[in-house]
Amino acid sequence: MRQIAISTALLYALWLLLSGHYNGLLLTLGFFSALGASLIGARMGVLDEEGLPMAILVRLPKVTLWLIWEILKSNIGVVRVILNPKLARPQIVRVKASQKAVAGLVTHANFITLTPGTVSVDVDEDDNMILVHGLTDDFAAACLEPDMDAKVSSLEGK
Amino acid sequence: MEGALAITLIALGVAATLAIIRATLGPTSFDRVLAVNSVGSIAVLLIAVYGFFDGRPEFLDIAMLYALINFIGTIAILKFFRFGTLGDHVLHEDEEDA
Amino acid sequence: MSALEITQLIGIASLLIGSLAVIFGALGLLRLGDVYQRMHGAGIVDTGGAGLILFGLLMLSPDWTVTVRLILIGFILVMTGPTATHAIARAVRVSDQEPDNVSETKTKKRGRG
Repeated sequence: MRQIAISTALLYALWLLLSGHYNGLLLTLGFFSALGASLIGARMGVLDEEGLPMAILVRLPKVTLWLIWEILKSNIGVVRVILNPKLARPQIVRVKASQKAVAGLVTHANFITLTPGTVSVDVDEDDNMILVHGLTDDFAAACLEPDMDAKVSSLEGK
Repeated sequence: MEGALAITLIALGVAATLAIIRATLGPTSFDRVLAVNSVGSIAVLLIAVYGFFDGRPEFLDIAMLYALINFIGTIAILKFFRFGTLGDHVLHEDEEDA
Repeated sequence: MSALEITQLIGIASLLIGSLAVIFGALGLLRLGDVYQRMHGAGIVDTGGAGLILFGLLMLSPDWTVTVRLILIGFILVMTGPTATHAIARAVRVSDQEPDNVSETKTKKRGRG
């Protein structure tokens, strides 16, 4: 019930932002379409903690600036490798993730892929391991540092 | 401002050309999927920038849809590579795979 | 210089740097050695290039409905881009076409899937 309410509120806010028409009839219709979509989502069983990870979504702005800075830094590093492909020393490393929930693990893997120079190749839910492909030694080593892991864990907030 | 937008449009065109060359060269099918996915991302940006260039920001709605369809298309192609169908019934045959 | 001109200048600079990033990313797609490495090139297009160009457009946006749409496009790209890249990487890994010049430490390849 709570999930349906949150989802309806989010979808209705999205509808309000995108529509640009604000008369009574359309506002009502928009509300009912948001509610209908949420009900269908609940019936499909996708509105659980995994499909609508509110804990993570609420805390996301906290790490956004740090993430943008990391992305810019590694962008420059990858451009350097592209200009001189001989620098590339591709390798695969295993990164230990300390997140408890699947949503946190997925966020961690997504952050790793989001920073250029590292791509998460495989996620092992049983051992909480992420298999990471790094473009050079530096990128792979940066991934193994507990920095990003700690940031993502702080998103979970538990 | 128009000049900067025009330069951006040209740069995006050049980038799309490079990505299409990679899609043509291959060598594996995954290279092609990757390149086509990049062409999609570039196309989203191209539509958005062209909307500004033309003074018709309504183009952004189209860019948004393109971004979503690009993602679904990539996933669909990968699933088709793996299972040879987009339906569900084959998934049951090799359930231990999924 | 008025505040409007300054935001315009930031926007134009961001657009131009973003164009450079997109070209470098596509160049990486073309130049790097195997399919895993090329993913990093595609990553530049998806993050640095898209982010800077969208930020530039954000600075030039004429009214708030446009701003909302630009932020949404950015959000969608940030959510879907890494997922698609990860899907491709995983598909490469479970396929038999895996490039063999990757030095793999402390891991053994898992079976199909």
